Amino acid sequence: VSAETEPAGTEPARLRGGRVGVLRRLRRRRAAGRNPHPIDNFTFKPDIITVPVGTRIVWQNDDDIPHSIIETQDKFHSPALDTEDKYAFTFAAAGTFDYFCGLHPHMKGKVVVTP
Amino acid sequence: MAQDDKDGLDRRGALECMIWAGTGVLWTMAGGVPRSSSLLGISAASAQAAQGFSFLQISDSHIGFKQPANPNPLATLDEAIAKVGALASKPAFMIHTGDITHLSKPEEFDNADGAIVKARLDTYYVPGEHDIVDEGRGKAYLERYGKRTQAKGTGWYSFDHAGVHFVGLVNVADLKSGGMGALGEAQLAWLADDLEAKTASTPIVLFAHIPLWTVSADWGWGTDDAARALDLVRRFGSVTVLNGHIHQIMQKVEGTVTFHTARSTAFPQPAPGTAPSPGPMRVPDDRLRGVLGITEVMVKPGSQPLAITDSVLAKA
Repeated sequence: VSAETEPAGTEPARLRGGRVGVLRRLRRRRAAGRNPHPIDNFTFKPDIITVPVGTRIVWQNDDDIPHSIIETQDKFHSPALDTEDKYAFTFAAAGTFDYFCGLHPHMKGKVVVTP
Repeated sequence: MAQDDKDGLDRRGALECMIWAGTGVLWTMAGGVPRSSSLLGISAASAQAAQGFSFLQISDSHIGFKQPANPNPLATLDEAIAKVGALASKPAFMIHTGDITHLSKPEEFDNADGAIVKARLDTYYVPGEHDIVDEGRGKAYLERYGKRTQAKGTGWYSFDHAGVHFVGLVNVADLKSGGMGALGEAQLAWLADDLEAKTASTPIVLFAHIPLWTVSADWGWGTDDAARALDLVRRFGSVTVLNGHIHQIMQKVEGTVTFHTARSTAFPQPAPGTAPSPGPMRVPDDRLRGVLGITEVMVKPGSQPLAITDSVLAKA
């Protein structure tokens, strides 16, 4: 039984003991291992990130101009990130989160959080 | 680069000469049709316009920028202001078309103000996207610059000078995902109201940060609802649209509307399509001042296009 098959809102690690919890932690760590996700040449790289619930995503601005990360429903938003500044957000709920740069709104990205 | 209204000895040129000949008839060109009006009937403001005046545009000073394209934008802003001070004829005032600062920090605004005040000119601002990234999303900008102009909304306003109507617009606030610059419903409604009482012969100058025409959709260099603002000025005989944002000169003439973007005083950006992204462009140190500059706008009587002259900080 893997965490993917659990309906949203349950807590398999607590209910079923250590094994699933370890798997989930490993998956989160693997997802987070790609951190930081670069913002480079006015592009979020990659523009679609898929991670399990509970993952902390870190973005880093590698451009010589500031960018920001604004979720379209304003579920989260970063301040303006100067060169090499980072912004992190932990996705505690499953769902799809569309975001864009508040300074250059043609820059778009998406985080898909799986249960 | 300079744009001037040099038509040679054609009919238009002859009409222009008549304006200056003091015949008691003021000729204007509206939609290519010459019209006359008695000098006795025009207001003092229009009479002042008949003398002509100039104003200055500076843009994109980006105070706080520290990257290799220009580690010291305060020094180049100082040089731009020194150039303003050295002009042969004193401009009536100055406009700054936004990105005063790089990150909307109080000390960045302070440093910019400290340099710009040395021009000893009334300066009218509109915000760039870099000027409204404070915690209050533009509150700091409005507190500093909005009061004097009695700015509405996110900072738009208008004023008159010597018969010319100037409108400062904000197209960098509340931007939508996937879009470009935007004016928004509230500002467009205000603009319609603001222009309503103006006669078609009133020269109009619109200024805003992001170009009000699409220079590059891929790079977001345009304003999604600009066409609605331009519809509102369509009936005027002379419309000049001044923008910044793209850190290079671009010009376009469409009917009675002249579009012009100014150079930055901080760093250049690439021409559309010539680089992977519109970020700061690094040029050799000894060439930087050849791609930064200021813009002087001459307002002459009548409704011919305003004469726009760009000059660099130093010849490369």
